[in-house]
Amino acid sequence: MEIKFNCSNPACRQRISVDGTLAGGMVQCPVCKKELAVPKSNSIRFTCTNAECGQHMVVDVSEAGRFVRCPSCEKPLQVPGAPPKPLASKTAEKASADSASNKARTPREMPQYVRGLLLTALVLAVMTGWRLIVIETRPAHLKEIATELSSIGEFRSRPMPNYAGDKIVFLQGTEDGVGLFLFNITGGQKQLVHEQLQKNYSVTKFRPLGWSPDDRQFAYLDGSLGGQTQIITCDASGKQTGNVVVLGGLQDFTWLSPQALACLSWQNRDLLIFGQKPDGAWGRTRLFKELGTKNAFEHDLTATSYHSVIWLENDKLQSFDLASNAPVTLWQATSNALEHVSYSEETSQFLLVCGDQNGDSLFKLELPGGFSAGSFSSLGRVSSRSKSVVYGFCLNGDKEIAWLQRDLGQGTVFIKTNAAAEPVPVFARGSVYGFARSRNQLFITDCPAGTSPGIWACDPASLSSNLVFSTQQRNLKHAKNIASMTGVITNTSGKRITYHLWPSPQYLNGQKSVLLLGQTPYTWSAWEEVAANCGACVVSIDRPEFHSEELNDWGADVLDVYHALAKDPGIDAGSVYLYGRSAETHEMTALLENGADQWKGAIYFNPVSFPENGLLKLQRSRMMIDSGADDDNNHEMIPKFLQRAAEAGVPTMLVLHKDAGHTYHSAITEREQAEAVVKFLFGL
Amino acid sequence: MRSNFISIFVNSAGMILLAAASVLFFSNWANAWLVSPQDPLFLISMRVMFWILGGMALGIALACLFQKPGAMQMILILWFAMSLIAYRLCLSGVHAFGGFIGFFNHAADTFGVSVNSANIVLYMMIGYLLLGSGLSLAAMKISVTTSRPAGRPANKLLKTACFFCKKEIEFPPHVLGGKMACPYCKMDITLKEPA
Repeated sequence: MEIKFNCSNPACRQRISVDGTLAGGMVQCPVCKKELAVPKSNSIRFTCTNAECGQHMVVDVSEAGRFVRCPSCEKPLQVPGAPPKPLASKTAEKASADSASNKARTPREMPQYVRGLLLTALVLAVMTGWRLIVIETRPAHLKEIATELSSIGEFRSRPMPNYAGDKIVFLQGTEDGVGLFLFNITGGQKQLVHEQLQKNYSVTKFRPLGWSPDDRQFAYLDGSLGGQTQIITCDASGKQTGNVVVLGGLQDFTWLSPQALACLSWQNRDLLIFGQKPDGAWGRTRLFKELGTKNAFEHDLTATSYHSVIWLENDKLQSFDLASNAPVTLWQATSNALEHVSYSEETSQFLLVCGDQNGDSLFKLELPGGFSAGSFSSLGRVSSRSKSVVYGFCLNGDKEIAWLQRDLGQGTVFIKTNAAAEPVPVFARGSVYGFARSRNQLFITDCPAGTSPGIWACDPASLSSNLVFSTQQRNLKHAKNIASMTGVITNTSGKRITYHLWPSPQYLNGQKSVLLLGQTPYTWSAWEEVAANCGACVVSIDRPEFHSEELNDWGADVLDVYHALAKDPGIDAGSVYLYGRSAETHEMTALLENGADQWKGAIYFNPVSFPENGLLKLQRSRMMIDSGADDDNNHEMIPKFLQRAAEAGVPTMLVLHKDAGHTYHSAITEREQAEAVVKFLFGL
Repeated sequence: MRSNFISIFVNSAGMILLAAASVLFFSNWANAWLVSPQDPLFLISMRVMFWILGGMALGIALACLFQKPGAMQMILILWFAMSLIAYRLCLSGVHAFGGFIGFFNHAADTFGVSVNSANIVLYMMIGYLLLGSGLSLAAMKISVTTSRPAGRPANKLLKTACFFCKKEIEFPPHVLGGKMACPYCKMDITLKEPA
């Protein structure tokens, strides 16, 4: 027989079942371990408490503490003994047990912070991955390509060889600005003599001036020292030997002798003569006030002896002897314009370049009996365009004549081996920037297509040449020197338009390329090569000089070439961007304002003009503005345009280069510019 | 069902806002070398504006992703979307007729999408946030109203009388139908609604 009873611990109330033999004994609650007295009987007997009833009842011991109804009077009665657990408590226990069992059966719900962390990580991973993909889809090695190509310093002056032809002085772009370099041809060493930072550099205030007649010294102009114009002289090893301050700025310069200099001042056109003392210091020895004509452009100052100079002034060839008081006019152009003069010491002959509306001609002025009597002879017309001959020289006792001629596309040196010979073009492969002569050689700064700029030595007698200095000092790892292709079209009005095209690798493989289109003088510059390396075709419609009359045809020429190139299967006609620099932006703006449908965008380099009207029409175009932070135009015009464009919904990207003005000269700025162009075209 | 919808919306809105914030932050970091136009309303650089907008979007996104979905998130999302709409309308008010396009082209370029596509995505995002938060708030309101019988105030105790001792017993609505011992007579009784 079993005896069932409940634990007397109110917090436990465990139902306990024991054998009848334990009746009256003690057991321990299996749950709370409390010592319990086992009821003596399996049943509880009690009597109804209703005095009128007195009913006897027998219930099971497990009913102890519970309420039951008296079967006679129905009065609720509590069974003697420890009460069981309240029902509600049991329900709660059961519910708790059910809940626990449910938890075990169904997947556990993820805590909010875990879910938050997972979702955050997912979003960040997606966005970072997306950004990385965009970076990866950019042209490969953009930074390296831009670094390699912009490190090729462009020439900033014509070469200045010594008379022996074994040393050259020239200006070249450096990382931070422009450097004056002395290059020893025989040893192949390049030496930095002086550097000007980009923010201080000015074309008119920093340039080489020339070698002394004995090749022991050379001079250069430095206008950055305390705002003064100074002529610095250096020995043949590049060490400074002295300096001369030229008050009023320098108009032109020449060596009179190894120890004497002549300068024409810019402000008053005074002629100043400086002499070098035995200790090397320079001092002013003579001053001829207001020798030139104000507002005239005197140039080509040349010493014809140690006591006389000549210069060119308003179509007149002027001569001045230091022993006299006034200059003498040796020759004056009447039917044409006198553009350039050079003097040959060996034969005392002058080579004159004169131009008229039909083109440029060369003349020889001989003064065998001194300046008092001379003869004048024509060497014939050499070009059909006025002012296309930049300058020229007589060489080897006037046997040969060489001159630099700028046509639409490029600069070319021509050499006549004798007065009657036909001119022979040399270095017609690229673009000659400048040339100079030593005693028997020509030194030519050139950039043949597909190479970096360099200096070539040319023997005018044999017309043979060799590269003596290359701007590309290191091998290119990621970039390639891209050979520009030339193209010619004739427009409906019969005008012949030539252009240079730097092809992208895609274009050469027969795939379509983005096109950058502008009209500007053909020259080597880093950004064009970088853009072409990175997948854009760059087209530069030829213009002989920046401020030439062809600038007026900018828009018409660009449209004509666009229509021709749009048919080229290698050009994506829907991705054509215009580009223009400085004054060209006037013309580019006019073209954009007249119709922007065919242009995907435009790049404004150092702009001076922006669209004023119809900006809303340009909403489908993208603009890039690239300018120097120190450019005067930046103060108001560029920020205002950026704001107007943004408000009109024209996506515009503005890049301002630190320490740069209206023109760029440092490798840093050119690298930034090239990278910006590629990022503008192919994604930031 | 309703709580599922709310939970999904809050999480998705958090993800969208986090993505939007990362676009703005990436754009600012990647394009620090570019000059930004000025915000025409607050006259601050657009770069600063991106930091502010990105910060706001990030804050709301974190609230959505790390807190249990509730009315607070909905209100924040609704406020953010409404602010963007108001900002867009004000741009037109100051004659910035290009809307957002001219101001976030750098952000679009940073992720290699056209500025027009980015503009469409932005409007879709605003629409989704506005509609989703509005609907979620409405759903929450309906849920609160229908979870109790009409006319009965929330959290009010129900009353019944003990079957045995007839004394009044109060109990919370959630134990309706359950069994408990009468606190007075200790008899087991079933909790029923009063007749």
